[in-house]
Amino acid sequence: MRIKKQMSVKEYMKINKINPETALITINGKLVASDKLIKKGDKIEIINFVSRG
Amino acid sequence: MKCVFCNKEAVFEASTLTKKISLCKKHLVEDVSKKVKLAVKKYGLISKNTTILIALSGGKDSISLMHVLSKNFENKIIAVSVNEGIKGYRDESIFFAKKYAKEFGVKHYVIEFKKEYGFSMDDVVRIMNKFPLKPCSYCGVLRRQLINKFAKKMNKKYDDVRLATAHTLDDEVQSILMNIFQNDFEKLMRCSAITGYYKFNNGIKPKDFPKGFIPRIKPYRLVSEKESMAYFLVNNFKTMEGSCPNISDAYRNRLRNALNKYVWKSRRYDFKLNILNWFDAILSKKLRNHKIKSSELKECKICGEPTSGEICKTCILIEKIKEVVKNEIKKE
Repeated sequence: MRIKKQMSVKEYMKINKINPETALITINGKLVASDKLIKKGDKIEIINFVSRG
Repeated sequence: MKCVFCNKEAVFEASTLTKKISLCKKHLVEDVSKKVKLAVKKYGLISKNTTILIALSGGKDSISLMHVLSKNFENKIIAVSVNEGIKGYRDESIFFAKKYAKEFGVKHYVIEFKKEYGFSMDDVVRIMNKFPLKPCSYCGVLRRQLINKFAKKMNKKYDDVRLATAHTLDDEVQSILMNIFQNDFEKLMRCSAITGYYKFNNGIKPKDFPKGFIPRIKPYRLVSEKESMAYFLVNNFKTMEGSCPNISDAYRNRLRNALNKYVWKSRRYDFKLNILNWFDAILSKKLRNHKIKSSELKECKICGEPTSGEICKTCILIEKIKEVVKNEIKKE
């Protein structure tokens, strides 16, 4: 997913109602902390890691 | 955000009992390794001569655990994967299990349902209406028995074999709460970091167990699922995407969702660790007064695992499945 507006990972997760207990975010393939700014055009991936068998 | 240890850019925020700490890639890897070493020391999981047999599914947790153990322990390490015969799912995860075992220098074995039982999980699922329970119940029982059998075989070849599973902090907390909510005290008491632990603490040494008893250990018990995933990502490991096609809406899934939602909304990031610590304290207190006679345990006449009767419940279930599946395959 490519982002249109600059915001922090924390804000992005809040807006998209992503539970940080069940998902991690990578920007352009790299794991980042929650205060990292997502810039316009960055490629974001939501990694859901909850085991399901 | 900077790493609390080296001021480099942080990639992860780890929860501790008192606060959240930000970690860079290097210190995240160190933190996970430290937690595994702590669990090994705290619960006495591995001794000098122990051969670690990893139950390797090829998922993120077991691959990460194999990496941590192979990097931090001098012990002999081997790994085993079970191919249940679930097309489009297990073949792929075994590909990754093989790949990483080779990369980390771990000897890897694959055992198959079809070869050992004469049927695959796909066969069982096809005639699922003949069984009262959901596929996961049968798959788990059958898989456990094969791994135990294999571990016993390895125990004849190597010293003090212990089966390491990649149960995370999240898995443990879910099991503890599930058993409390279901009022299952016996199962609750089995949620320890090493099977047979409470018998050891009551003066019954491992040698008093039926011959060839293989303890199961959980070195990943203090590592959360989130940390496990972060460890996996920063090491650039890859595995299959998606989950087992036979997965059902199990009680565990509902409990897991509720727990994670609670931690998120309440911001109680120490919640899971607190439950585990509380349980460990209760367990050690309870076990000090819990008396079990070794004579209560017999060897199952079919599989040789510890049981209170002549034949263990697992073998009774397996015989039933075998009978139904073979009859159905014959009909087809």
